[in-house]
Amino acid sequence: MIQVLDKYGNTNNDEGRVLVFDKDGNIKRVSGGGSGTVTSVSVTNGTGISASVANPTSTPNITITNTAPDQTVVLTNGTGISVTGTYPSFTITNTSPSSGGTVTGVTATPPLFSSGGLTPDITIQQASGSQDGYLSSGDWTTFNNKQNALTNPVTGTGTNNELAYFNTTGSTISSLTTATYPSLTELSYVKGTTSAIQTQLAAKQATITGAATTITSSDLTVSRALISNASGKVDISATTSTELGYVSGVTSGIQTQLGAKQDLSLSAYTVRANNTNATANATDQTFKDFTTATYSGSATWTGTTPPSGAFTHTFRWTQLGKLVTVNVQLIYATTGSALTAVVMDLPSACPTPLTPTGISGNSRILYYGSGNFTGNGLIGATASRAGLTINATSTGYSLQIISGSGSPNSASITVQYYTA
Amino acid sequence: MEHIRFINSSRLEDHAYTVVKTDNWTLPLSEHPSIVEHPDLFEIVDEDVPEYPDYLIYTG
Repeated sequence: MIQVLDKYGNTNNDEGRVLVFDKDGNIKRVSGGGSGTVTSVSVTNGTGISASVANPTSTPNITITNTAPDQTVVLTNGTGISVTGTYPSFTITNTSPSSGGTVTGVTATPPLFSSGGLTPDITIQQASGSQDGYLSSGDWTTFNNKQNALTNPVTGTGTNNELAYFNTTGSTISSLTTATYPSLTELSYVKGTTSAIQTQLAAKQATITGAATTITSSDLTVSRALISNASGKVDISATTSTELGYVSGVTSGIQTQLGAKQDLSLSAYTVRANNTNATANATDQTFKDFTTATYSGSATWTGTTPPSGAFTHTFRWTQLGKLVTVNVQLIYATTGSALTAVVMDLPSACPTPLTPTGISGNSRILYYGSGNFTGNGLIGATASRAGLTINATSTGYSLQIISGSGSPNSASITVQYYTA
Repeated sequence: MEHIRFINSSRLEDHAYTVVKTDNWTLPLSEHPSIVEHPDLFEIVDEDVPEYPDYLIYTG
């Protein structure tokens, strides 16, 4: 409420007056009353109060309603606070005014922790290896699973890789110095043993030295003959045990025996033979066995009608040493008649006959043989003579068959003769 | 060359071609006994003799 006094300090009946600021900023009354027009009225609800305005711009009618009537208010004493009186007048008294104050800072000692300030947050930190604090549920479970306190605790210290042992009191463990005792690493070497080591060692040979050192830890290639290598050690050779077995049964020097053997390889057209009257090394002898070939020489028949038509003339000869055996076959399709002899050239492929001493001249017999001619494929019924002769002009050699008159379509002659 | 041959002779390589030997015959071939006696078996031809013929010493 503003009360305006005059310069004498008196209040005046200024009801209905209007106050204004003059040019100096002083308030002064203005003669007569002010006027104006209300153009709109509004109200605002309060706690438990509902207000509304009807016709707010013309003839407003304000309605105010207590929406929460008859509320009971109870005030209770607090620590150092006393409440007296009845509704609606209460008296609240601080009964311990001397204990009041303002907290300006809170600190804490581990395991507690304070964030400090006017509104400190007090917490307990989680314990760790370097920090006291609360025990987490997980750590509690771990702790709870620990073994109970040992009734006869064993203590002691040791050195890495050394074996532990009990001292004389049986309650302290120390480690055995590796200068005297095996280390843990050395002890691990007995891993895998299946029976007493000393027993096994006693059953072993002493350490192998010398030539056999090459075969102490691994097998050799199977089935090989053993040799001493360039270092004097046991080693394998290229010779297999099968090959080595081939000398089984040998009774004297192999090379000596081999040297006494003939060569398997021979010169062309040779055989080996001993052509002496005593034991001697074999010498090469001629051996030729020519297979059947076509005979292309001429045949001279004696008689009336020669065999004719398609023919198959063949010959074959073999030489062993200086002895030659030759055979000629003349075969015709059609028989001749009244024939008494046939003469044919000695095949040029045959070795040259050796003319026996004292024989010379045309058509002379050199070697007799056997031969005949026939007209039915059967052995000739007529006696015949055959042989190797000097030919009629002494320019070569002929094979000749002489027989009683016949009607042949084939002739066969075989003669053995010597060559030089 | 004129010669006497066996009528059944052939010039095929695998057939016999038989020539009558007349080396010492000085008369005409037509007078050779083989022609005279067996004109049915022999004939006179004036041809080359093939290689490797058979020969016949005609004895009648």
